[in-house]
Amino acid sequence: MSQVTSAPASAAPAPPTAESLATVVTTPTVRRVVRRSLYWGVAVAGLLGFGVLMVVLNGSGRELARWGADEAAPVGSRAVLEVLRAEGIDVTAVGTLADARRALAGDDPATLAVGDPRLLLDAERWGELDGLAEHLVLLEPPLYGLDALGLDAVPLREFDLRVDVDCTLPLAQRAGTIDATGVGYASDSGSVCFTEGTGGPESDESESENQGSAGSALVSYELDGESTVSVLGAGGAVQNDQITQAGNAALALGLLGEHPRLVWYLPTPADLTSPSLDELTPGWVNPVAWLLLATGLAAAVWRGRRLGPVVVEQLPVTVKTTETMEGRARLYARDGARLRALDALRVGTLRRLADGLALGRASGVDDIVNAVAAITGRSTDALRTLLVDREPDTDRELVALSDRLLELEREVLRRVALDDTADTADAAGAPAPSDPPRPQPPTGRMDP
Amino acid sequence: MAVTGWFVLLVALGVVPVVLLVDTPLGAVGAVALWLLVCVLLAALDLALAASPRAVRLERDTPGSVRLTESARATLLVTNPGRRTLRGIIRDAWEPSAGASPRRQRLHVPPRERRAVVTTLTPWRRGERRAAIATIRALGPMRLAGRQASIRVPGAITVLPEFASRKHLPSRLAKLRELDGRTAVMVRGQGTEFDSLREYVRGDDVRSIDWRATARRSGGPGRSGGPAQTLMVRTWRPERDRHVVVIVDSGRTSAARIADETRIDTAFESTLLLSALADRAGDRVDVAVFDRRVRGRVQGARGAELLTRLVETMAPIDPELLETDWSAVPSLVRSMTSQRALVVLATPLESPGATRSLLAMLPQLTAKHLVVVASVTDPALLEAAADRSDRASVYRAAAAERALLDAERVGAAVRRLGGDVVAAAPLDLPPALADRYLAYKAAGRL
Repeated sequence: MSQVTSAPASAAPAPPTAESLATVVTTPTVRRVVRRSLYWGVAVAGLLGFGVLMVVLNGSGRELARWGADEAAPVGSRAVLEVLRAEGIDVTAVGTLADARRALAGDDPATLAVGDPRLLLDAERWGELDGLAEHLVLLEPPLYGLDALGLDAVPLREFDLRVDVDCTLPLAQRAGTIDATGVGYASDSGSVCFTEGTGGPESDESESENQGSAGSALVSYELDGESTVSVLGAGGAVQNDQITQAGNAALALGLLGEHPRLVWYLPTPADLTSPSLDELTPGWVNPVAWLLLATGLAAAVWRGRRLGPVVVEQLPVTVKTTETMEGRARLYARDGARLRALDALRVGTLRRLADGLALGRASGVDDIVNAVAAITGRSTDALRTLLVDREPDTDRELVALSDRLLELEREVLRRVALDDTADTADAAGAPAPSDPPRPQPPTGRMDP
Repeated sequence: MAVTGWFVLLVALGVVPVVLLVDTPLGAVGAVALWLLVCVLLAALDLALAASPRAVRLERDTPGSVRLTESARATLLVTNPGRRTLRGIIRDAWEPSAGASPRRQRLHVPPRERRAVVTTLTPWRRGERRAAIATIRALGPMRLAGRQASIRVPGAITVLPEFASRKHLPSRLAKLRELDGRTAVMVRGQGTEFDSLREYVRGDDVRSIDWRATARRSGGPGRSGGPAQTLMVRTWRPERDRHVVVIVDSGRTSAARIADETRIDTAFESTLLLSALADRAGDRVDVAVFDRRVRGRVQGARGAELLTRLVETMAPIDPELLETDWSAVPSLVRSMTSQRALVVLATPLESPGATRSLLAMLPQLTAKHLVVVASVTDPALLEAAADRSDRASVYRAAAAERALLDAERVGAAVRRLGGDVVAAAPLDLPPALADRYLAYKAAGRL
């Protein structure tokens, strides 16, 4: 009677013949799942691939590295380094001080160019640069770096202007006029070049009096004869976008191409001297964290896989019987229909009193009031006020009246139950017993 | 496909090799990747070695019906036709209200063998409860991963009405027997028949002494004579072969739930008790469930068959959210009986507005039949009417009093139209209706 559909082909779109007697495997086979989700899988993969391609092509999402050796963007320095390479200079781009040392090892005279736009090097590291190479070119160095190197150059402020050569340095002379963008420096002991204002009318002002100006674009120091330090304030001169302007190219090639080797050192976070989190933690922490992540994923798969689908069932509606009553109560309360509410309570009380006194349904208010007065000894007028006439003005009054109604009911019931005296007999006997409260069949008293 | 907790544990255990391997040339990434690869390969191997849950043959063995609140054992026979041992978990999923337990069970079926998976059903709702699906997760020998398939195996069990009021049946039957053989003339009316003669015992009504029979008996042969006379009395029994017609309202108002029971369930309980009693009393019982059409009808059944057919008819019926078409009821009753009958209408009497069509139809029935309306009252109304603790509850009490008054007025209207009303709380209605029937029986009003 049970037929098994194991082959995926025969299990294909199983029509809902569940009502038939055959058993049907409802879980799709792996092949069917793959086939069904192929479109979306391909679509999502295609979109992802496209996105990655766009990122790669546009290079967006990557921070532009100023003076980057391989950076083709305007702020990079790939152009000048390529030209230097073409000129036969051995250009090495490094990211850490240790690499720089390694690259500088050797006998050939070398140039070390250091630019730290992200200010990653601390003073100590700056100091270590001293004497590493025959020519040290500092691109817009910070004050503490200069102090660490024992140089008296001081960065003044940013400038962006065209300056003429105003010193006798051969490489500066070759450059002539440069478009200087960067920071101007002032120095007493070093020889300064391209001081602001030399291109203008006040060209013959001395640099020492120029403290109010933006300073010079190039400061160079000759240290003990064989080692040179150049502070290039016009860092823009070696950027791709400005290298071709004015004499920038001549200046850059002159500075950097002096020696057969050039080490282009841009500090990276690896240079940070304070120990990083990586160095402080044992080597196994990261892989264990990945493993825990994988464990969490596996646990999610484990717990997330349901043992079959959720079973749904059509349940009948649930109708509350008291909804009408609650709604009516809220209407009474909202409109403050005190008299109407009290009348409903009074009718209920009168009905129960009539039942308790065996007066019958047809008895009027007067009959009930008289009977109650007879059994309780209260005055007829007071009872009438309570049961009919009194109109409540406040909710407090309504609650009080309702309590008194209940109290009256209890008293009457107690009296009826306690003293089965002539009073009750009279009261019950006075009106014709039309109907007992719950109409008993005539022979009810025959039952045991 | 599914993985188990063991697989998760295996992945987590990778901490040991990863810590050991992290300083080797493999490096951190390599160690983690290697371990994950090992885990995935093991899981894949396990998966490949697992038995196919799709190939399993399933058969059901379900009892046809179960009474509400009782339990039944639903058996699912699992045959493993393959050559690998099927081990894992099985879930025999039923509709939630079938109350299936346990939800999931271990499964171990050796190759080419069959095992029974027993699920205990304790339904909490009347009607037909269906089996939805059976899901098998077959694990591999290492229990790391498993293959899973859901298989629809049709099956159903009919949940019959509880008939909780059957506990009232013995006492009512005892009352019925008391009616039998009763001598008092008070009982004798147009509805009683002469039953038999028997000897007088103390307590018998002297008016029921049959003097002629006494004379015949004492004057007969074989008597030694003497002063001791044997008095004979006549006994009577209630008339038999009357007709009871029950119309259960399955319309909108019967959907209301009172004290955890819908009104229609209470009506069914009352019907069952009344039918059982009337059938024992020798009367014919016909039942119809009606809203705008006849939802169920039991006619001409007697004895045990009557109750069986009644519960089977009632089992799948849920109230419809329709206004009951009372104008069609007289013709329905006419189609069920041609003679005078006790017609019981099981429907709530709530407000004058909702019962207008019932009241309009009633004279047609009362002209020929004895009509009783069995109405469920809400104990919550009485509670609300008695609670006067604060302002809000006083207003609620007023509204409850108002609702009670409405019901009272409808009941009075029914009585005025010649019908009778039995109104009681859900648990009290079935015995109340049975008592009313016995009272009619005793009075010979049927």
